[in-house]
Amino acid sequence: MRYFTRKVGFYVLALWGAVTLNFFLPRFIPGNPVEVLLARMTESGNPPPGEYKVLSSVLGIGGGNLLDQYWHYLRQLSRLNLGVSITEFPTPVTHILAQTLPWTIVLVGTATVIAFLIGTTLGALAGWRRSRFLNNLLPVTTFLTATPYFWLALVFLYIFGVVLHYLPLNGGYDPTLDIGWSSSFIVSALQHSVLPGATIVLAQLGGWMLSMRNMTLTTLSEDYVWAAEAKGIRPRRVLLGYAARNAILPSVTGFAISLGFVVSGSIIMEIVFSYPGIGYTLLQAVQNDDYALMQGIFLVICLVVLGANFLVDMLYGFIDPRTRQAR
Amino acid sequence: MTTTAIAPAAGATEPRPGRGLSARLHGAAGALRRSPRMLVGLIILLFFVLLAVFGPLFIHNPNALGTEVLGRPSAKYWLGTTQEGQNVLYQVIAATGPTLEVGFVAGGISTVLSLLIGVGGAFIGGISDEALNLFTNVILVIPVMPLVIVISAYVQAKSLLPTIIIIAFTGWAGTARVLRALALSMRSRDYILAARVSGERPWRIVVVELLPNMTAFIVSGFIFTVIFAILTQAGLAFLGLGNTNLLSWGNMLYWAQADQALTSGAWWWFAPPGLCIALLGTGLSLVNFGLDEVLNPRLRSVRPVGGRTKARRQAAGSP
Amino acid sequence: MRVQPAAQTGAEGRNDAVLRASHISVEYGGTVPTRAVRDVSIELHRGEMLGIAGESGCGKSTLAYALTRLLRPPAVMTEGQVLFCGRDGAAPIDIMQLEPEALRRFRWTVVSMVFQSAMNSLNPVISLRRQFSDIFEAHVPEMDREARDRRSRELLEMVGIDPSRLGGFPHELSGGMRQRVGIAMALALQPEIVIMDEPTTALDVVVQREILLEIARLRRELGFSVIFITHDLPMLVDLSDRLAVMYAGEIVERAPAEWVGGRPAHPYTLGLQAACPDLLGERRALQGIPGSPPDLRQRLRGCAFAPRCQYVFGPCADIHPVLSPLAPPAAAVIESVLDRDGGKTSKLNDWAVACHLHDRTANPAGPPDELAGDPLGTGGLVPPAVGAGLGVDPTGRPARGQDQL
Repeated sequence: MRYFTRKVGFYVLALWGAVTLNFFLPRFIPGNPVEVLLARMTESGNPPPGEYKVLSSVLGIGGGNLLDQYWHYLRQLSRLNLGVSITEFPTPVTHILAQTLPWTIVLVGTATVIAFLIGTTLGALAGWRRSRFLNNLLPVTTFLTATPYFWLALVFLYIFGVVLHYLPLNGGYDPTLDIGWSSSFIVSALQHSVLPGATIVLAQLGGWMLSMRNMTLTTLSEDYVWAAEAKGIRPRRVLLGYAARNAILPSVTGFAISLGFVVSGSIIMEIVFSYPGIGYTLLQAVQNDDYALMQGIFLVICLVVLGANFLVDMLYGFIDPRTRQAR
Repeated sequence: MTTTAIAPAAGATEPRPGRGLSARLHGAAGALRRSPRMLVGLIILLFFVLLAVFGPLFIHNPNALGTEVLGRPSAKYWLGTTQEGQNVLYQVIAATGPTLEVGFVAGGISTVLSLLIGVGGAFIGGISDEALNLFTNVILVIPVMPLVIVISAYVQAKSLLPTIIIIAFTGWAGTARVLRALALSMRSRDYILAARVSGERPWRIVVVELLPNMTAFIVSGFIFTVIFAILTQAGLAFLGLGNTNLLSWGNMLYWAQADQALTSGAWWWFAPPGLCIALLGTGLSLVNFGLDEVLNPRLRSVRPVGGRTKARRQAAGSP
Repeated sequence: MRVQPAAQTGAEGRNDAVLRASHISVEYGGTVPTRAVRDVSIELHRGEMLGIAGESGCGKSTLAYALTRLLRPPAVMTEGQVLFCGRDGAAPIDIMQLEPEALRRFRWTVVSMVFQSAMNSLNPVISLRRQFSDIFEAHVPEMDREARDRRSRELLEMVGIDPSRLGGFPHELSGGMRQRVGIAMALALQPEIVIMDEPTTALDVVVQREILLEIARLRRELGFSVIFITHDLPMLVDLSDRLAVMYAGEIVERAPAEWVGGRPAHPYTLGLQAACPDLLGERRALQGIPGSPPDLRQRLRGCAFAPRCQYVFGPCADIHPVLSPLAPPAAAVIESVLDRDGGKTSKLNDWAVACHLHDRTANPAGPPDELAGDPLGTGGLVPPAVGAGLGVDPTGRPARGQDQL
């Protein structure tokens, strides 16, 4: 139980850290961003009443001393009021986030799980049998891991979209279709997600594979694996229940760090595919100096990554009985 | 104990204190021999360093506009030309230096930060170590890229320096955690304890006893951050954050994307810069794998006595 | 105090070999291979406890693992044959010829092991129940879940652990309890042979004693044979029926345990004895053996122990001593004494030593008193007359009993 409370405590703290960091970020903006924003808003129409106050609270630069500003900022956050966006004036930022976040979560989440499963399996096999083929694959996967996601995306797009015309060039779905649970829409969404998904999978496959291979090699010389062999336990069971079962633990721990990388890579990659996710929206926000939207996106990405890491840590508590014991 | 308890130190890879420089060089040569990966990695790295240093001597202005627009690779333009008729090869070569600069400077600053926070914390111990460790872990779970993007968007950098600083201050956490764990384990080793008991000054212990024995891990962390920095800078440049007129591989990709290189089929424009990034990253990763193999003999192709060494079993005995 | 050896399985059990290993050689690969075990032959009798003693790195564990083909790369068995002889007179099984699947089934059902570090040999992340189940699932697939559970509980109870621990994990147990679990697992399939690789070395003295008593009790009850490996010679003397002392990958002395306890015949055995505290016996001053074991990558000339031996003389440097039965008159003395004792004479041939001191041609004066190999510890007080003219043939071999090895 102690493990769980400790983890909950840590993530609450990390969340507070992210929120506070978010509070301080706009101080890097030269000039008064609120006025810049309002001026831009008036160009596109009338900003909603009270928007000046909301914006300055959300950006944490309203009146009063630092503590007051911080307090107002937190109050706006707790009401889920993140201001309105300039990019899609006058849509509230939360609304945009709610629209774009699912695309990213589904795409990046699914691709990451697939990459983890495939990479870990291949890595375990590479370590277990020291297969020449799989080990020769390692330099290739290393190369893929060192490749920027967005460039891999460009190459895929070029080969499959421009040259071969196999798959759609950009977007997350066929814009002539209505968004909904209709089969044609789902098929279209799946088609559009093949290339972005493949990019994420390929780019992180190598990392999972390599760490699993190395850990399997290390675990194989543990006494309990050797003892399992002495016990005449079937090789399959030795691999799954003894070697891989232990080797996977560091991969799960390392998930936190990798997830940061995956998210970083994916949001830039979305831009290449004009994928209607949070990364593409972030670029638009950056190009339009849409500070409120940027802040909102940063916050929500933090929230999702922290949430995912929390889930993984909980999972770890279940797969490693040693963590459950009070230290 | 009696002499019967002397175990042959099979497969001992513990860092040993007080090795001379020649011994270290000898060790490095041995490591290279044992790990062909590291050798390949170093060759790739050397290639790019040479390209960055001497490449500019052989090329003309990489930004000079030409008449041949979007030209395929030819005898005159080995890697073709851009939308503005610029020589892609010249651009790739000219961009090598700035890219390496970002990588190594940001990696260097970042490594110093991880040393200060990780090793410093571990050596001071107590509540400040706990606090620093917590801080490190929090930074570690906060996604870096969106943070860097937002800051870069705010700062609107004109040179590479702000980018370097932003990357350095966001990329230290992983290495700091590794180094802290290592320093904690080494702090209780006999020779460190002995130095403490004999009243050596703490900074001296860190500099003379601790750091030299952590070299491989520090180098490994440094390389890791260099890769991180190069990839991050490429991403930022590709987004058009920072000065888009500076030459870097990322900026080349930005212009290629902006000028529709993809739809006009100009693969020679966007392929080379990305390949260079990936190749450099691969080289750096290979060096790191080599270090891994040296640090963890079990990863080598010929395994030593499969874990049946006395020392290990006794060390891992019941608490 | 003395633990009663459990091997009193009667006359039929005495010379009935359950495992016969001949000419085992093991090398650890590398640029210069290390010859860890050098042409060792050994025989385990049904129901007995055979002790193997020696310093770290003498090859005793390597030998034991070679017997069940459990060597891990780069260790390779370069030569040798291991035969397992079943109870019902079936044809012996040549372990080296077993196909992978047959070998897997052979392991643990016939030969099981207890490892030195129970912590490291138990899987840290799956429950004890699962680890017991894995054994049964691998070898007795017809057992259902309930039966596996019942049997696991029985086994835990047998080694003195509360069966409610079955759902627990290794890290929740103390060192001694883990080793008990290790023993329970080793006995799960009622094997003929249990190899115990320093099962008590990692434990503190009090727990060590408990575990040893436990092993002796289980052996009495279940009658399995044991190969017990340790560097602790006095413990072996107390515990086992016969013992073999290894040095530099070879057996240098092999004898019934109680005799070696009285007075060993090899200088190395003597040194080992002086170097270990006797956990169960009386106190005495400890003494180390000076020097360290030889580099096994080199070709060894002469006797491997010679550089550390205080009795070194003429042939030691050049001639490699071979393991041969103890030369008369010591053997004769024993025989005469045992004749009066009745029945135990067949043990006689088991006392073999690889040392020039006992070679009458090389050393006509015979070994010094402390190495005379006197089973009764009478220190050479047996009058020469008793030994004279007994059934000893001119080659120096005892007349009765068949050659072992």
